[in-house]
Amino acid sequence: MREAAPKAGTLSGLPRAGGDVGPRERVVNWIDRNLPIIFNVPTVLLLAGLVAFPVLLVLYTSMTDWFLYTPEKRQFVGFANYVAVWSDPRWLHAIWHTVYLTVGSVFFQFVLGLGIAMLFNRQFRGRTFYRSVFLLPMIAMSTAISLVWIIMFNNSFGLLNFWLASLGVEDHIAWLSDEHMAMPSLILVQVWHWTPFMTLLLLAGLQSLPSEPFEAAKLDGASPWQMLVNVTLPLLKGHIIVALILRSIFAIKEFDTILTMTEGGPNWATETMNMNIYFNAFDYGYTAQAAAKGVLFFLFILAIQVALLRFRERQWSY
Amino acid sequence: MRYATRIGVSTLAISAFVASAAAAQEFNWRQFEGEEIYGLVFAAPYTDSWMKPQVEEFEELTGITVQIEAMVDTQMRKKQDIILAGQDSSLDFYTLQMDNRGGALTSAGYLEDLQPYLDDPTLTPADYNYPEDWAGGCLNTVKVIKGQSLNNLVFSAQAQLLHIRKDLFEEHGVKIPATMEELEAAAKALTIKDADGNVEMYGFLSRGWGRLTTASFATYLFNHGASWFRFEEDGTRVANIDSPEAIDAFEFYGRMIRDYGPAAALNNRPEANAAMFAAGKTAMLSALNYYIYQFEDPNRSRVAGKVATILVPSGPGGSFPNTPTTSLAISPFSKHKKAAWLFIAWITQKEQMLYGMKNGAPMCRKSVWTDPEYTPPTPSWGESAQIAIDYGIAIAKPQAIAISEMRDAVGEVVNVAIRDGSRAAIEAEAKKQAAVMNQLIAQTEKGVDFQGPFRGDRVSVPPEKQVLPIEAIDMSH
Repeated sequence: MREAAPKAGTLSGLPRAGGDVGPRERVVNWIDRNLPIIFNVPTVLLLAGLVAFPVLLVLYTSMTDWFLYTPEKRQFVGFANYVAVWSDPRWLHAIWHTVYLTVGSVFFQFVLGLGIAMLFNRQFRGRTFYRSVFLLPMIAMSTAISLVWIIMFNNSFGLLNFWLASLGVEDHIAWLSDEHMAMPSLILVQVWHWTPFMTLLLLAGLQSLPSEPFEAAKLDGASPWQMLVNVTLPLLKGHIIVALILRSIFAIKEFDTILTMTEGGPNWATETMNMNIYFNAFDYGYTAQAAAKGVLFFLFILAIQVALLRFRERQWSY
Repeated sequence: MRYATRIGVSTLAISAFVASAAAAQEFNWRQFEGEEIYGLVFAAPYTDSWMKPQVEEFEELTGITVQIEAMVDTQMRKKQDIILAGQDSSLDFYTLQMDNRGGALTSAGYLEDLQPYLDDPTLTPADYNYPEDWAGGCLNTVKVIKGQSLNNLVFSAQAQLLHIRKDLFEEHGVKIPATMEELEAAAKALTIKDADGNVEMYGFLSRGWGRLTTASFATYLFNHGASWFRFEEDGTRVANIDSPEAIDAFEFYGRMIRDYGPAAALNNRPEANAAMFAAGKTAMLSALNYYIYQFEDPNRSRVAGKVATILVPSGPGGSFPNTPTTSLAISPFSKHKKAAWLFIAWITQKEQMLYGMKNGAPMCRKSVWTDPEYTPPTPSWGESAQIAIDYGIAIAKPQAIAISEMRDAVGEVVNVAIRDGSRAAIEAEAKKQAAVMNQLIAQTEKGVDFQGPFRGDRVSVPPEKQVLPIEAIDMSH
């Protein structure tokens, strides 16, 4: 007589419950029933420890009066820090600087990136070589390139002022030490560093587009500009939104370049939101206020990304 | 007679043996054998030339394992704060500048009281001789808050001095400056242009970048008769950077950099300034005195043999060399405090400090400066450095709990003084930043009583000593 095969969906094939079963079988049965939960426990614990706990700790810290250099015990102050930050002029300026840097750098990266992507989308001799060379800035370390740019920007012996002087501009430009020039200088570095990434994303989009609409437009006698505005951009819209979302997230979070090149100066003209949080947390010792600003910074990024995603959803169904 | 001699020699030998055995018993360097200690220190010339090379010898002597992590100051301070705020017992000792964060760390309770360790003959060698063998300028920097315990052991005696190109002074017949007026006259005379009007040689260079300016500007501030803070009649401590004397100092310092310095001064970190001087591009550099070892090294400098070091010239308020010293301290959360103290006590002994001096790290023990084994890199450097450690005060920064913000505030005034330079603009910015500083005092210093340094509680370098480094200059080059 053949033995019955184990019941599908169980490890042991033992009866699920009831009947005359021993403790061992009961444990095996319980494990069997809860296998999906058990397998997920390590991941959940890991996430709880590495994500949920720090987030909750930041939320709690943001509602205390923790100042690093005082022996007094921290007190719970509710939302006082969230209110206080709006009377901090440096924080308000930092929000504006974040928007300035993000819009300024992403706009130029997009315009240049699109143009270069369209160039690389054409067939020409040595295209693969030029494309590879063009992508090099993207893989360089931010701190290293920032140090090189500091030398290039140097008021006295920097390459940029040297070039300007050879063009007849005698007045040295204080690229990083003039509060009106410092942010445009940072945007220039950002554009140099990240335009290749924008190009890569848009080039991938261009290469995935169908050729028929372009051929049809050509047959209809569309000019290159009409092709760009009426065919390329509408077809590429989805890719453009993804590229803008990715680059704007990176630009909002930009830190290492600013820290290396200007440390938020001069006169805090390049202090962005996360630089302000960094100074408050690690330089000034205002741990609680920095935590509150961190939460607000997170909400700021979230709001922008949600807005961009909604825009993408609306535009996607063309 | 021979018998008596033999008895005498034997007695002497036995006494010598007993004495040496007793001395050895007096101080037991191996009492914490097997322990491991971890120190977080600044990446600085003294770390490489004094502390690190001697660790192996200490480990052999004591059986204690020492792990030293050296980091650049800004990063080290952040790591230090995180460890101390978390009351992490892994950190045993660390370096700090009392004039920078001494007040904040004292107030937070992050510094162990070292007096009991010093007073304990089982933990401190009998010939340690603290504070008698420590220079006055170094000791001036140890305590920053009234009632503060001895919570740090000062060791590094670096000072902000004026490095000058003696060959250029001689070649152009310019008087080596002893006063602020002479300093400006020299800077003007040594700002040399070529036929096309391009500057070939800048007359003066000092820090012009952000918060770092406070350290180099401090001497100019005090020498002009001003100070970072003053006391109101009711005893309240308020910012003094908007006083007429302070505005004079900002105006002078800004003008010196703007008119006689390279535009790069606004970008340069101290290391870049030193590199410019070493490259032979400037006639005078206001900077820390340990850079002399770079200037005198022909492999790293084009001005080797042509440099003299003098005190920053005296001003209407006198002469107050700025000595931003560095100290060693023990974390109150350490589990190896005694072993950490043993390391501090050992590395700051005369022999070990002499090792540092000979390798280019100015040290706080008086006796090492006069030791016959030690020769200063140049005669004028030796004179000026020694006067600085005798008379120096810790004025590099406006000492406060919110020290970083205070430095940022002053840095903004210096920035305006260099870039704009008009007295009205400087006054407006100084008033604005003084208000910021006063608000910070009110916010962060409840119950904390900073003791200075203020004008009036320190002695100016006497005029006859002010000129000693100038007289010591060896004009052969």
